[in-house]
Amino acid sequence: MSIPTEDVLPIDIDMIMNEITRLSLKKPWGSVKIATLFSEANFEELISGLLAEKIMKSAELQYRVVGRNDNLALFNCTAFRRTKTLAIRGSFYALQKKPFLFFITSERNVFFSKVLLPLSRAMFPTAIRTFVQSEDLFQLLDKFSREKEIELRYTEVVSRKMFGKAFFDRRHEKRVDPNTYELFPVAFRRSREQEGRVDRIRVFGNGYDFSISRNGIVKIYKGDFKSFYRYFALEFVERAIRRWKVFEKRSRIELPQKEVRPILLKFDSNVFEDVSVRKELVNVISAYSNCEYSIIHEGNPYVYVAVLDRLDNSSFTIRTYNADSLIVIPQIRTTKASLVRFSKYLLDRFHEASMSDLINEAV
Amino acid sequence: MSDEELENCKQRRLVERERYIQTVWLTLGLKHYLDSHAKQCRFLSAEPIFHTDKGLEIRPDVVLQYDSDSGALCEIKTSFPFQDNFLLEALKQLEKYGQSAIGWDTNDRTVENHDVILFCDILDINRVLPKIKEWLDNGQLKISENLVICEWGIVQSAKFGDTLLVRKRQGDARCKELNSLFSEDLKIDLQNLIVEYEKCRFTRKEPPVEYTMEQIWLYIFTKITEKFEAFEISINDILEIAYEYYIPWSNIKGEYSQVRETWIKKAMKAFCSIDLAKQNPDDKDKYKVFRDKEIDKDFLVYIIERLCRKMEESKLKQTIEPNKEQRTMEDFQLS
Repeated sequence: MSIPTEDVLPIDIDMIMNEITRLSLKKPWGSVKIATLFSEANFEELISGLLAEKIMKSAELQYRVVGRNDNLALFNCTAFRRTKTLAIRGSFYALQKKPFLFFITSERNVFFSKVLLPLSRAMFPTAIRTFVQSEDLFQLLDKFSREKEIELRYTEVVSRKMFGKAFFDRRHEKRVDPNTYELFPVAFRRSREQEGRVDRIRVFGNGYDFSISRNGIVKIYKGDFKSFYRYFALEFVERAIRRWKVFEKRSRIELPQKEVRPILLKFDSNVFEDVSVRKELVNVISAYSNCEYSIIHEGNPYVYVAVLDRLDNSSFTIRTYNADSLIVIPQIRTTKASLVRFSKYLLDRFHEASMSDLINEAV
Repeated sequence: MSDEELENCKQRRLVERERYIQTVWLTLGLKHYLDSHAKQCRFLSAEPIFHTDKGLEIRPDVVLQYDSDSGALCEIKTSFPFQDNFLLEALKQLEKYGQSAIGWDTNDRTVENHDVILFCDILDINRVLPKIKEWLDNGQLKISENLVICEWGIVQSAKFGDTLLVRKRQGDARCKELNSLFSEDLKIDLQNLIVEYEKCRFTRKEPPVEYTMEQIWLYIFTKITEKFEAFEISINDILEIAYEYYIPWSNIKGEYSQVRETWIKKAMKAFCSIDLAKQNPDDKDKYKVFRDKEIDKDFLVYIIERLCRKMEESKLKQTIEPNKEQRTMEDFQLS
């Protein structure tokens, strides 16, 4: 099967990235990590603008342009951050093809989790970390497996139940025969059987070894950069953009008749039949960072909370709707970024839900 | 103020706010039900200003107009006092409604006759109804127009959302259709009105000050800046936004918003009293809002607690320094 041209990196950048990946994976325990983001702003603007002030409080950042053409740019960056106990320095690449932005590093996990991911969070709302659903992980692995004709088997799975409660399925024992590991669809089935959703999965097969997560992160342990770029990194952003369309034009300011356009978040089962779930949901919402909230109903018999997002001064209300849904009701100013951030929080701290327009759904 | 006193004050304020929200829902439920189901009776307005033929101002909670030359002035009660003298005083308000009223949607703004409908909370009805009958009989309460008494309540369900129940308990409305609707157990599904509620947060009855503050802080102020930061705003700026987003209940003359300027002024004064805003000394209509303060708990609880404490302080001050100029909670009607 031929690769569509829009999915291919220019030859020079492709070579650079593949070489970086090859050299990185040569190191013992080496891996390449890709964080995927969505941003309409230039990388330079992101760094040098107001967001940089936030970053500079605890971190330093330098960058230089490696290559650039009309729609693609590659930057080589170094970052330093001092935490309470650690001083962490490392390098990474920022690859931008608007609105896609990828942070790529072969540094250790501590740099990735303590420097690179906080850096990307600090860029909110100008840049937003992408995230997908468990179903997307399955479909992407399925596509990769079919098109590359590789049987992918899993070694480690992290699933999450309601309220983000994690459970694991690990196959760490060294088995000589790869066939003793199970095919990846088994992991998804098992997760569902335990009322969970796959949050992160590590798979291998025919020269590839990698993990992907709902947080839009790819970790490469074996394989070529090009494949992961095309099959996962690009796909994560594209799928997130598609899903986030439901958050567009929700502010009453933006609508000619100042309409109210609620969003329906539907769960697989009647989760809100249980009063303890409803009450715990209120606790989850009140623990949401950078927000002010006001509880209108605290869970008996339903949840109804107003949220004010301090990051961009926008607000919305949330209420349980029937026994299986939540509705998010945008107010005078409710930004897309704010709704994306909150939906990610619900995914992490509550449960995975399908999202749609309430009024169209009712029709 | 002891913790117990604070908790009591807080709970009272929360109950007041809940009652106000329920009044909004009853008004909204009635309006939508009548708009979509009734042919001989229409929802005219929520709290318009009417006058008696003697020039006395009256503000019924809801006004209905029938096809014939008549209508109804309605009073919604979420609670009634327990003591007889206070209860009678509260009911005396209906006496004004019993007089000829001017303000209807007719050429001369009058109707030949009208009903007076009292919507009494389902929890109060069995206590209040016998008293009304007794006082009407012995003349302590005089309502010259036809009195209809309905009970109402909101049944809350996790699965089905809220349902508004309305049932007639005494009297007959002049409009046969309305009479028949209220004679059965009228059930109005409020879950279908969630979207409408977002545009109708106020009846034109004055809300508790913290309710107005909540609406201003959480919703209206978001239109001012794209950042969570301090800013300056005038009463007019706030009113303009309120007029744009909280649409009037009807198009009758003089109604252009659910929100009144006096409520906004009281709310801004209350913000000043708890250090979330400061009035501009050179222009009393302008305020600097300290939006940059981080409030890491339920915003409503935060403002209620601080207002309760302020109320207590001002009471104390009044006792110690009775001759000094007082700016008490009465300024924004907290109690």
